[in-house]
Amino acid sequence: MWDSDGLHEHGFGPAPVKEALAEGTVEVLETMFFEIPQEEVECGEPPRKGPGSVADFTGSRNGTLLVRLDGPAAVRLAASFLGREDDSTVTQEETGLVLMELANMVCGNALSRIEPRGAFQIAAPRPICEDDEAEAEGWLVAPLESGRLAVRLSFTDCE
Amino acid sequence: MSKRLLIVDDSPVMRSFVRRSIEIAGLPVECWFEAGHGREALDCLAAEEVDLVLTDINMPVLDGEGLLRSMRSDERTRAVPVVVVSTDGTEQRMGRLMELGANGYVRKPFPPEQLCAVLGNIFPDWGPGGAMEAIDVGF
Repeated sequence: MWDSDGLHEHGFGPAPVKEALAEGTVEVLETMFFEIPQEEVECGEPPRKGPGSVADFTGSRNGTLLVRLDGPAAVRLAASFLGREDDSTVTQEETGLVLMELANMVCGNALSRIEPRGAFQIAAPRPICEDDEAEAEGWLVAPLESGRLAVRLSFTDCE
Repeated sequence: MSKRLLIVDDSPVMRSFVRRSIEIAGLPVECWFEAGHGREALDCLAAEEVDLVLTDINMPVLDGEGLLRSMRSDERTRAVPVVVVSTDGTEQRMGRLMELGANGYVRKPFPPEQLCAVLGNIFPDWGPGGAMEAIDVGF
């Protein structure tokens, strides 16, 4: 298994994957959420707890993409996506739906960059339990004004 | 010039985003229809006159590829333009959907103006000189 903070395993270099995941995350944030990370998207510590979602994929590669956010960042992103100026109008259900779409888009974007000639099937994303502690390693973190967005891409197979 | 649009996506927030992108661009839409998967979309197409379908690919029950195949094999819906809006930007998938008869492909994430440009190519009266003239697309 290789993840976005891993070393060269199975002959699959992490640098292009990290780059693809970071670039894909930034593109999704800027284009669909109108959010620009305050610093470079780099390896870092994710929110230990908090809202998030997961998308499994199969095809040319099999694996999982996780997103996890600080609570205020999740609500702000949801508000931006839904075109709301007031974060307090966003329901928990809406935030969950937006986070699932966020995982879907980051996953598709990163995979398209990693394997543009590949074929993937991304399963319907699902929410993760806010109280489940995140694994400590393997995350890229985008610092946003309202908190952190962390993403983790892991492959369960090899070429 | 005003159109009847069907948005097909299993994510209600994405359907809302697509609709808002078009509304903010000021493109004239007479009637909006929404479906959560391809089967619902076919039911809608059987009951309503639709000028354009915007569809995701990965959906339960019937996916976007199945929807496109069904539409192109049905005399009544064969000519209805279909724009695919998907996270799947792999060459293989895009090529297959275009071969099946998609009229446009917009990869998520997309800026609203990109979606509207694709629609402008399909409906010339929505393109430059038409409804999109002097539109300031922005959120």
